[in-house]
Amino acid sequence: MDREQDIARLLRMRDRVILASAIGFLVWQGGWLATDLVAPGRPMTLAVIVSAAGGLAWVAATIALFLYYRQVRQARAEAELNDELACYRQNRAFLIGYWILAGALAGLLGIEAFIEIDSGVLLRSLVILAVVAPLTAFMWLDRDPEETP
Amino acid sequence: MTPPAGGAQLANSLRELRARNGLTQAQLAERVGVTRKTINTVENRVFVPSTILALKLAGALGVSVEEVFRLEG
Repeated sequence: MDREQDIARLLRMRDRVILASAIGFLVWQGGWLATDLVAPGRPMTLAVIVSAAGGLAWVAATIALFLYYRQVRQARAEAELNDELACYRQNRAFLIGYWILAGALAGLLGIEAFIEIDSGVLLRSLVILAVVAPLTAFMWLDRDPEETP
Repeated sequence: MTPPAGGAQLANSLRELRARNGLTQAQLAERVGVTRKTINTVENRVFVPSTILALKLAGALGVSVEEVFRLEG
Protein backbone atom coordinates (compact mmCIF):
# COMPACT_ATOMS: atom_id res chain seq x y z
CA MET A 1 0.00 0.00 0.00
CA ASP A 2 1.51 3.37 -0.92
CA ARG A 3 1.81 6.23 1.53
CA GLU A 4 -1.04 8.24 0.00
CA GLN A 5 -3.48 5.37 0.54
CA ASP A 6 -2.05 4.68 3.98
CA ILE A 7 -2.69 8.26 5.15
CA ALA A 8 -6.23 8.21 3.68
CA ARG A 9 -6.92 4.90 5.46
CA LEU A 10 -5.66 6.27 8.79
CA LEU A 11 -7.80 9.40 8.38
CA ARG A 12 -10.88 7.24 7.81
CA MET A 13 -9.94 5.11 10.81
CA ARG A 14 -9.58 8.23 12.98
CA ASP A 15 -13.04 9.45 11.90
CA ARG A 16 -14.61 6.08 12.70
CA VAL A 17 -12.87 5.82 16.10
CA ILE A 18 -14.01 9.32 17.11
CA LEU A 19 -17.57 8.57 15.98
CA ALA A 20 -17.67 5.26 17.86
CA SER A 21 -16.17 6.88 20.96
CA ALA A 22 -18.73 9.72 20.96
CA ILE A 23 -21.72 7.43 20.38
CA GLY A 24 -20.47 4.81 22.87
CA PHE A 25 -19.92 7.37 25.61
CA LEU A 26 -23.26 9.08 24.92
CA VAL A 27 -25.20 5.80 25.06
CA TRP A 28 -23.28 4.52 28.10
CA GLN A 29 -23.63 7.64 30.21
CA GLY A 30 -27.02 8.59 28.68
CA GLY A 31 -28.44 5.22 29.73
CA TRP A 32 -27.02 5.71 33.19
CA LEU A 33 -28.52 9.19 33.30
CA ALA A 34 -31.88 7.69 32.34
CA THR A 35 -31.70 5.33 35.31
CA ASP A 36 -31.01 8.35 37.53
CA LEU A 37 -34.08 10.10 36.15
CA VAL A 38 -36.47 7.15 36.47
CA ALA A 39 -38.56 7.31 39.61
CA PRO A 40 -37.59 4.71 42.23
CA GLY A 41 -39.46 1.44 41.84
CA ARG A 42 -40.03 1.86 38.07
CA PRO A 43 -38.52 -0.78 35.76
CA MET A 44 -35.25 0.35 34.26
CA THR A 45 -33.91 -2.86 32.72
CA LEU A 46 -33.88 -1.43 29.20
CA ALA A 47 -31.88 1.63 30.27
CA VAL A 48 -29.39 -0.60 32.11
CA ILE A 49 -28.97 -2.86 29.07
CA VAL A 50 -28.58 0.10 26.69
CA SER A 51 -26.10 1.71 29.06
CA ALA A 52 -24.06 -1.51 29.32
CA ALA A 53 -24.02 -1.86 25.53
CA GLY A 54 -22.86 1.75 25.22
CA GLY A 55 -20.15 1.11 27.81
CA LEU A 56 -18.89 -1.88 25.83
CA ALA A 57 -18.93 0.20 22.62
CA TRP A 58 -16.92 2.90 24.36
CA VAL A 59 -14.36 0.37 25.64
CA ALA A 60 -14.09 -1.05 22.11
CA ALA A 61 -13.60 2.49 20.73
CA THR A 62 -10.87 3.15 23.31
CA ILE A 63 -9.06 -0.05 22.29
CA ALA A 64 -9.48 0.96 18.65
CA LEU A 65 -7.94 4.33 19.51
CA PHE A 66 -4.81 2.59 20.88
CA LEU A 67 -4.65 0.45 17.74
CA TYR A 68 -5.01 3.59 15.63
CA TYR A 69 -2.10 5.29 17.44
CA ARG A 70 0.04 2.18 16.98
CA GLN A 71 -0.71 2.11 13.26
CA VAL A 72 0.05 5.82 12.98
CA ARG A 73 3.44 5.22 14.64
CA GLN A 74 4.16 2.22 12.41
CA ALA A 75 3.32 4.28 9.32
CA ARG A 76 5.40 7.17 10.71
CA ALA A 77 2.47 9.42 9.88
CA GLU A 78 2.23 11.41 13.13
CA ALA A 79 3.25 14.65 11.42
CA GLU A 80 0.72 14.32 8.59
CA LEU A 81 -2.18 13.28 10.80
CA ASN A 82 -1.43 16.03 13.31
CA ASP A 83 -0.72 18.68 10.72
CA GLU A 84 -1.65 22.30 11.28
CA LEU A 85 -5.20 21.89 9.96
CA ALA A 86 -5.83 19.00 12.37
CA CYS A 87 -4.36 21.00 15.30
CA TYR A 88 -6.40 24.06 14.33
CA ARG A 89 -9.61 22.02 14.19
CA GLN A 90 -8.82 20.27 17.50
CA ASN A 91 -8.41 23.67 19.16
CA ARG A 92 -11.66 24.91 17.60
CA ALA A 93 -13.47 21.75 18.70
CA PHE A 94 -12.28 22.21 22.30
CA LEU A 95 -13.36 25.85 22.21
CA ILE A 96 -16.81 24.91 20.85
CA GLY A 97 -17.05 22.20 23.53
CA TYR A 98 -16.15 24.73 26.21
CA TRP A 99 -18.87 27.16 25.13
CA ILE A 100 -21.47 24.40 24.88
CA LEU A 101 -20.51 23.25 28.37
CA ALA A 102 -20.61 26.80 29.75
CA GLY A 103 -24.01 27.39 28.10
CA ALA A 104 -25.38 24.11 29.45
CA LEU A 105 -24.06 24.88 32.93
CA ALA A 106 -25.68 28.32 32.89
CA GLY A 107 -28.94 26.83 31.57
CA LEU A 108 -29.03 24.03 34.14
CA LEU A 109 -28.25 26.43 36.98
CA GLY A 110 -31.04 28.68 35.71
CA ILE A 111 -33.50 25.77 35.64
CA GLU A 112 -32.27 24.67 39.06
CA ALA A 113 -33.61 27.94 40.46
CA PHE A 114 -37.14 26.74 39.63
CA ILE A 115 -36.88 22.94 39.65
CA GLU A 116 -34.78 20.89 42.02
CA ILE A 117 -32.18 18.96 40.04
CA ASP A 118 -30.24 16.12 41.61
CA SER A 119 -26.53 16.99 41.77
CA GLY A 120 -25.65 13.57 40.32
CA VAL A 121 -27.87 14.21 37.30
CA LEU A 122 -26.38 17.67 36.88
CA LEU A 123 -22.81 16.38 37.03
CA ARG A 124 -23.48 13.44 34.71
CA SER A 125 -25.16 15.71 32.15
CA LEU A 126 -22.15 18.00 32.20
CA VAL A 127 -19.69 15.09 31.90
CA ILE A 128 -21.59 13.77 28.87
CA LEU A 129 -21.46 17.20 27.24
CA ALA A 130 -17.78 17.68 28.14
CA VAL A 131 -16.83 14.47 26.32
CA VAL A 132 -19.33 14.33 23.47
CA ALA A 133 -19.45 18.01 22.45
CA PRO A 134 -15.75 18.41 21.46
CA LEU A 135 -15.73 15.03 19.67
CA THR A 136 -18.87 15.93 17.71
CA ALA A 137 -17.53 19.40 16.97
CA PHE A 138 -14.29 17.92 15.62
CA MET A 139 -16.19 15.48 13.39
CA TRP A 140 -18.32 18.35 12.08
CA LEU A 141 -15.32 20.61 11.45
CA ASP A 142 -13.30 17.80 9.87
CA ARG A 143 -16.01 16.46 7.55
CA ASP A 144 -14.34 15.49 4.32
CA PRO A 145 -14.53 17.99 1.48
CA GLU A 146 -14.56 16.66 -2.06
CA GLU A 147 -11.18 16.27 -3.71
CA THR A 148 -10.48 18.56 -6.63
CA PRO A 149 -8.45 16.88 -9.36
CA MET B 1 -10.30 30.02 9.23
CA THR B 2 -7.91 32.43 10.91
CA PRO B 3 -9.22 35.99 10.89
CA PRO B 4 -8.19 38.01 7.85
CA ALA B 5 -5.71 40.81 8.52
CA GLY B 6 -7.35 44.23 8.26
CA GLY B 7 -10.28 42.86 6.26
CA ALA B 8 -7.99 41.42 3.57
CA GLN B 9 -8.46 37.84 2.40
CA LEU B 10 -5.69 35.45 1.41
CA ALA B 11 -6.24 34.29 -2.15
CA ASN B 12 -4.11 31.63 -3.81
CA SER B 13 -3.26 30.03 -7.14
CA LEU B 14 -2.54 26.65 -5.61
CA ARG B 15 -4.94 24.70 -7.82
CA GLU B 16 -3.58 26.18 -11.06
CA LEU B 17 0.05 25.74 -10.02
CA ARG B 18 -0.60 22.20 -8.86
CA ALA B 19 -2.28 21.35 -12.15
CA ARG B 20 0.64 22.90 -14.06
CA ASN B 21 3.00 20.60 -12.14
CA GLY B 22 0.76 17.60 -12.83
CA LEU B 23 0.20 16.90 -9.14
CA THR B 24 -2.89 15.66 -7.36
CA GLN B 25 -3.83 17.10 -3.97
CA ALA B 26 -2.60 13.91 -2.30
CA GLN B 27 0.76 14.05 -4.10
CA LEU B 28 1.31 17.68 -3.14
CA ALA B 29 0.23 16.86 0.43
CA GLU B 30 2.82 14.08 0.61
CA ARG B 31 5.54 16.42 -0.64
CA VAL B 32 4.90 18.96 2.10
CA GLY B 33 4.00 16.51 4.88
CA VAL B 34 0.32 17.27 5.42
CA THR B 35 -2.94 15.49 4.59
CA ARG B 36 -4.95 15.94 1.41
CA LYS B 37 -7.65 17.64 3.50
CA THR B 38 -5.23 20.42 4.34
CA ILE B 39 -4.36 21.05 0.69
CA ASN B 40 -8.06 21.02 -0.21
CA THR B 41 -9.01 23.50 2.50
CA VAL B 42 -6.15 25.84 1.54
CA GLU B 43 -7.15 25.68 -2.14
CA ASN B 44 -10.77 26.42 -1.27
CA ARG B 45 -9.76 29.25 1.06
CA VAL B 46 -11.34 27.54 4.04
CA PHE B 47 -8.03 27.42 5.93
CA VAL B 48 -5.21 29.96 5.98
CA PRO B 49 -1.88 28.13 6.18
CA SER B 50 1.02 29.15 8.40
CA THR B 51 4.02 30.90 6.89
CA ILE B 52 5.99 27.68 7.18
CA LEU B 53 3.40 25.69 5.23
CA ALA B 54 3.05 28.49 2.66
CA LEU B 55 6.82 28.41 2.08
CA LYS B 56 6.80 24.61 1.84
CA LEU B 57 3.96 24.71 -0.70
CA ALA B 58 5.76 27.31 -2.81
CA GLY B 59 8.96 25.25 -2.60
CA ALA B 60 7.19 22.06 -3.64
CA LEU B 61 5.68 23.84 -6.63
CA GLY B 62 8.99 25.48 -7.56
CA VAL B 63 7.74 29.06 -7.33
CA SER B 64 8.01 31.95 -4.91
CA VAL B 65 5.44 32.28 -2.13
CA GLU B 66 4.09 35.48 -3.73
CA GLU B 67 3.20 33.49 -6.84
CA VAL B 68 1.07 31.13 -4.74
CA PHE B 69 -0.51 33.54 -2.28
CA ARG B 70 -1.73 37.13 -2.56
CA LEU B 71 -3.87 39.48 -0.51
CA GLU B 72 -7.29 40.37 -1.83
CA GLY B 73 -9.60 43.15 -0.76
